[in-house]
Amino acid sequence: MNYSRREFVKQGASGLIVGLTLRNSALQVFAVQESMTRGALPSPRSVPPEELDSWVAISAEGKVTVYTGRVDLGTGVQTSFAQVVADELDVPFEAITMVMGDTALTTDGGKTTASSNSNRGQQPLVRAAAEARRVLLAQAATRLNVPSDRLIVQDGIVSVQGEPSKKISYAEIIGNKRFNTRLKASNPADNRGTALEGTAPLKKGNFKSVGKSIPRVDVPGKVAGTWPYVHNVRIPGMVHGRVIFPSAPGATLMSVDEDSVRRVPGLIQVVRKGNFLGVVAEREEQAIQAARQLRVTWSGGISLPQDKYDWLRHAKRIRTDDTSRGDVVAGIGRAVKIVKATYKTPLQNHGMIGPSCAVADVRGGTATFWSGSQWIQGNRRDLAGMLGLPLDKVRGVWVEASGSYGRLACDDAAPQAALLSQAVGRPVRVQWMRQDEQAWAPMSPPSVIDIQAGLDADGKVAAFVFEGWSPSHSLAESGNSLAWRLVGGNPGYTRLSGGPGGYSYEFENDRTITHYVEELLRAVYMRGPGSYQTCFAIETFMDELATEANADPIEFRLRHLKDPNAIAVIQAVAKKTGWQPRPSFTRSAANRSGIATGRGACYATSGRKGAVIANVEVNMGTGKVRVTKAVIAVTCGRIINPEGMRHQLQGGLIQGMSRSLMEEIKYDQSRVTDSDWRSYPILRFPEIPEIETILIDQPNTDPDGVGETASIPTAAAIGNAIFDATGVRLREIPFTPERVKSGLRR
Amino acid sequence: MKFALRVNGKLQSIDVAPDTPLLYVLRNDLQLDGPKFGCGLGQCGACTVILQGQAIRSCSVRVDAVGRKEITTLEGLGTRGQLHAVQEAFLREQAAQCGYCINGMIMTAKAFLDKNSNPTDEAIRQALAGNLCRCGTHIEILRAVQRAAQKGRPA
Repeated sequence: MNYSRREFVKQGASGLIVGLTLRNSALQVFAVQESMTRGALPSPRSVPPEELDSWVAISAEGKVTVYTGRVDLGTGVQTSFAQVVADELDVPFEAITMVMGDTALTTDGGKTTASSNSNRGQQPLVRAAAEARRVLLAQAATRLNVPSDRLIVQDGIVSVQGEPSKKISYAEIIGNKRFNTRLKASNPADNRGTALEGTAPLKKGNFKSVGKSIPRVDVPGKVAGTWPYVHNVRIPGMVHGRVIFPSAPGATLMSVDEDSVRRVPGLIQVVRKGNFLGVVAEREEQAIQAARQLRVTWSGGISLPQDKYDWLRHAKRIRTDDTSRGDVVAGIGRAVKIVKATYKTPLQNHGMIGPSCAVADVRGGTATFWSGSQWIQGNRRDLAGMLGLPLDKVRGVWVEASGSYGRLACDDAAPQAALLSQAVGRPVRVQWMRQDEQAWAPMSPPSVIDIQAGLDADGKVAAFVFEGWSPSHSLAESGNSLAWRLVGGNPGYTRLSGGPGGYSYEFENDRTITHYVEELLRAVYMRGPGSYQTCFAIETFMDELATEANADPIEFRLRHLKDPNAIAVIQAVAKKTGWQPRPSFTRSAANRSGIATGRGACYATSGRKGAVIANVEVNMGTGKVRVTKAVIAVTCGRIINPEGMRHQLQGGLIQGMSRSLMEEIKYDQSRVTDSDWRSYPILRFPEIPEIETILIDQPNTDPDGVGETASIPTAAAIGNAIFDATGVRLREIPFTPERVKSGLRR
Repeated sequence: MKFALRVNGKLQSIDVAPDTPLLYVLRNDLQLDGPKFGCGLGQCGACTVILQGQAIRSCSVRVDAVGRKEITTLEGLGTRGQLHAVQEAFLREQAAQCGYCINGMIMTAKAFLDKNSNPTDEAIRQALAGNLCRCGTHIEILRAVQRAAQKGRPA
């Protein structure tokens, strides 16, 4: 079947959608439904980013459809994208519908990671909208027979200034027709549109939608239970698969006793390919039963070190980066005091509430998969590679999953579903069980960081030496899905990211050494990869230095900062909390029972510009830490949706608190032993503090994302507050009651 | 085995093994997607439905244990055109990020507010203590439950 994108747009934009009178999110819902009923369709190798028609389409009714390969992980970007495009195009917000992450319909938007939707993800949409407006105005000028500089646009209606009766709508100009306009790409190698250039200037002010807290388009469906999640995808003829995970990473599948499941009702097939093993059954509970009952023998597996931090120092090094400023030796030489410390951050799990889930339909040399992937194009490429299918025979359709925070940069369920579907010749849905997600998801890798600094006679840092060890945070990405690894022949992946290092203090003499080491367990970035770990180390160390210099911790930080944004966020939180300057833990006669209170500050030195002050209560008997209040200030350029931003910050803070107070993946000699929410607890309602957010708008600066900004500085803010309350310095995450108590005993 | 279930005011007949968890029947047989699979262990709350006034974990209840008791799912509370007061409060407070846990939050809050129309903040936190959210939407959720409680309070 020759499938044309315009055909879809026409269908989508005409009667079907309007007739359903759904709200903004309708087209996304429709796109997903369309993919489910039409199944495997040829998907172009790529949707060309230099074509304006790849980004925007206007229907005869004036509805505007905007296409992006970026996806909304529950952060609200489909709303904020629509706000930005509405303003750039001069149409009402309600006219916009977003189609996201469908390889048949959208450009390769790149990964939805690193809080980059609001900058790199949004740029091409803004550019395309401005170009579309320019083309529409040029055509309006011809049709109305006036020079285009006499035209004004309001709500998609172009009219002649001073002659309001002379007007024409966008729909009349282009409704259901192509723009046929090429955009200029300043970098032809860029296939994501981030290097698009245009002749139309971008708006710098007079926004109608931008800056307003427009309610999110997805929330009505989410509270009503009608929102499409990948977990709800149903294809005609679909059956259910479950995967049998190895006894340990690296284990070899020795034997499978198919007789052990012969009596499971509804069983369709036991599927084995290399070390990949799964079952397919008519019903979901039957597949679960078969997976539990199947007798399997595995052999071997990796061996895991008892002390991961010691292991990091001695593990095989992939690459070492070493950068310096000034003269560290001379700086140490004139120091009056030398301070050294080591900081440890554990393996952590992204903790998706809904475990991995995907549906795949692999038949007749084509494949379609439905996935919550953060990178549908990348996952499509890998899935095609694993199945040995040409790229244009594989279509990936993004459908929202449970919040993933980096974990679904590599969707493991889709390639598993694809292998099972290929074997049984029917569409297969795979959903992981909770223990699978806890033990087999790629995780945030551990790091160990040593810092040494010299303080001069003025209480300033004379030299600063940072050395950190970590596996890359990208190793579970391309080619490294669990299924492809188990089948064998996967190309592996060598991109290095998230190594410790990077900060914005302006020390005169400093040196940063980053060691990327081999994989411990499969890892993928998690909200602030590398920055969360680095910020914890540096911002705890800065507090230690302030104590050594007998200085107020905020004043001490400001001694070493020049960036006005950094100073602004720190001063904003200090002012909001009524911070009284004093060195930390001045109550040397603190009693050793009851509840001790303290305050801690942290500047997001290795993230975007943010600062946090946390207040804690520490139970001196049990060691339990309760965060009572957290205040955060951030700058992120022009604010598109203030409430949306506030919610992102609150969410990031709470997730960061949870990681810092309680989260550490546990393992034995060869495998992760966490299996549920008891063995890997996360923060619950009774422990949620009061949170205040301070949003510093910068209307003249391009927008940036904040998804990571609040998570990064939470650990050190809490740790520093614990020190202020008790005099106990915690240098290892998480800050469990046992660690606090052991500090108190010392 | 054949069962007749009362779901959202309708009698539904299904034919499944008696030990099938209620959640799979609701989702896969009745296509009610409000309740979600989160852990299958009754630990997270994503699968919560109301069984005769009680918020229960549908992943951990066998279908043969339900009998003729009335089951209410998120779909049975209200529709997009006519939201229930608790759903409306969640919408007004924009209390969802990914929204995967929201079914459990709304259903737990509804059953709780039906018994406790004037709760303290602490009581709401305790009522939701068994429901997990990973996006960190807790503050919006707490506000939504407070809003729903105030709306339902007799003047």
